[in-house]
Amino acid sequence: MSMDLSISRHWRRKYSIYRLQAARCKACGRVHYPPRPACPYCGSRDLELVELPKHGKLVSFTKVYAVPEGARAQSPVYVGLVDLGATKVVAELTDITDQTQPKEGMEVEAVLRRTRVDGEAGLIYYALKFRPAIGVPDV
Amino acid sequence: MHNNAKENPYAMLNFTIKPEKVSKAQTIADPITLLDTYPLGDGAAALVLSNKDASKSPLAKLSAVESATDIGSLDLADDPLTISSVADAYKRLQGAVNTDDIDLLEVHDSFTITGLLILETLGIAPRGKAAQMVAEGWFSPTGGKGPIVNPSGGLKARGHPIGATGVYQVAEAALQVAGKFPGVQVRGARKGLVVSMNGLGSNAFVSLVEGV
Amino acid sequence: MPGPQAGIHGWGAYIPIYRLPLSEIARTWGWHPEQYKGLAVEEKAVAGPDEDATTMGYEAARNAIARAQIKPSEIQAVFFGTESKPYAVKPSATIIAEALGITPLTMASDLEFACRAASEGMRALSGMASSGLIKYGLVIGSDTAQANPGDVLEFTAASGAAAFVIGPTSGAAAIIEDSVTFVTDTPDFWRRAQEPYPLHGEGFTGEPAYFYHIKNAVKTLFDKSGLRPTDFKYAIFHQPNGKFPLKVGQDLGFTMEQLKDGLVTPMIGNTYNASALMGFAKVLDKAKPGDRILLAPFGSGAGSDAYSIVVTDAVEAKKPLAPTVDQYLARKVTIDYSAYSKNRGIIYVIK
Ligand SMILES: [Zn+2]
Repeated sequence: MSMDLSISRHWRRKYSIYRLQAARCKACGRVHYPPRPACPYCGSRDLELVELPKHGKLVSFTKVYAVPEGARAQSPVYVGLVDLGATKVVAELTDITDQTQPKEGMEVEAVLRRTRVDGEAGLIYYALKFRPAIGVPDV
Repeated sequence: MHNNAKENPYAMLNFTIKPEKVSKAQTIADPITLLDTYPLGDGAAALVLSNKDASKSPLAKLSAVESATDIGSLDLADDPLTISSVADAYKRLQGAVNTDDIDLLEVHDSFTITGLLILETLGIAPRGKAAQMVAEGWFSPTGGKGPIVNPSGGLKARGHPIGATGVYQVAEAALQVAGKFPGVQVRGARKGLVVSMNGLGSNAFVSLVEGV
Repeated sequence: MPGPQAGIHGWGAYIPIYRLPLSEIARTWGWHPEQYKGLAVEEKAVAGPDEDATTMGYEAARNAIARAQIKPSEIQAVFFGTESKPYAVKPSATIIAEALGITPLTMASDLEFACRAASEGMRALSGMASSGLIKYGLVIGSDTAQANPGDVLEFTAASGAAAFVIGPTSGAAAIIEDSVTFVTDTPDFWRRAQEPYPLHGEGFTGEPAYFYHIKNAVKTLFDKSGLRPTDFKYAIFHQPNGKFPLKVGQDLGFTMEQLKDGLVTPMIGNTYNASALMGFAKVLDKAKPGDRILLAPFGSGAGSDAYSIVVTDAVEAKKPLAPTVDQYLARKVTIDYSAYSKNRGIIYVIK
């Protein structure tokens, strides 16, 4: 999921961005994120919306130094591939410090953070990011 | 692969690079450095196509073009190290024409890793071995044991003018099998395989270009 | 005569991972190395570059809802108390409510009363819950407290959040058995609408503001309820520094034994709206059924609430359902003044 500074796009996708809303295909049973009009695996349009768990395992990650405008304060931006069981998601990682470096297989959990800020006067874009798990429960 | 661009007058980065230079270049997204990525640039390429009987002196024969689509997503792919659209398109191509004895490939190495994954997806290199084989010169024009890969220098060196790139690749393969490529010419080349794709492989085109 | 009663069903806290040693502030701004020693604070919690009062409040609220063991959609009011609103106009309460699945059938608003806005929300919710207007309400206190770089306030202005789910008395982890509020117009601390940093009316900070309002609120509660300091296992006060809560507690007749467990400012600085409430969360993390707790938040401008709260049997089962305040206190990474400046937007970037 890429993040454009588009107010309407963010608003349309808020349930995915805030709560990890995904879609489960009733035909093949597979889950994809974010929800699309048709199942990317079998093409069926018979889908139901589901919420993914907010805890998973880090499969792989990268450390992005070439950050987009508005994200310099958060550079380097860590991006991870996270296995949530039903599906995998690509998401930003947060609370990464010299003492809390990401590792493959690490338990991570989703928390709400700022992802981009549109200048001084524009909208603040919030999204779930994953951080080394400390046991914050799903609700 | 990149180093072949030194001889290519159309290449954007027509110089050779050593592994240390790549690893010491600016890190974009660890471990990918600037020299692992394609340069942004402008470019245009064109092909004149005809019915096989219409031209008296064709440069080359475009034997087959096959395509396939896939999810093109790192998170939704069951195996992110295989580019399914490339695999599917190549399987179809193999069903249409004889792909034995390929002399050269022009593959879509938008990033170092993309080029390596294409070679492994095609089965030209065993899974996990492409990087080592490239490093050992397996696909190089001087003393390589396999087909020559990216005699043009590939996307990272020739450049990647997005929409023009696929046409560049076919034009380069056509010039190769005609013995007229102005850069690294694969001696006696008869068969060229071209692999084009976009992004993480949401679609792929595979073409076989043969000498006439 | 106790008034209508409400229950605390869940509690949750959040402290960001970063800590700035106060010695860094003294070194950077040329304070005498002993300048801050009187505050009884050694380091302060600092929100990360992608955090604000809303994101911190979200996590505290998630912990509180998990302990309440209710569906987020059962919450019918969200009150967000802060003096570091990310938006001057656009409620943080709706962002948190949406992100936690509380929307759309809920009240939601951001409250302002310096450091006691969230406490006002808590008292309002207890009235709403006991009257039956709502079943459950969520109150959040969260601040990335601002202080002008180089101002003495900078030593203690810290980041953190606390949240509580308020509802009926049945099934609650603790019962709010009585409460009072005491407010006046006092010019001890303020921030004008367009200003990034607050100012303080130096002479008003201690006696006329903090001590006067808390003491009057607590004494009124004692008069009203007939309770005395010895009736309480714990006493928790607003904590602008490490010393004020001990002094006001002792002046009111409480012992160090009753005061020590509710202290968080000595470890992380003053988290403003979360200050006393995080102390309360920390006490709930260890309190036993039957314990009575005095809670007295304070906000500049000025006012104080005093609550008498009794812990029930339900507290034990809820404790392990979310991270404790102690877990957040232990999770820390020390940063220097430059990282703090970047995180908190103190560095002015020419656009
Ligand atoms: Zn399907």
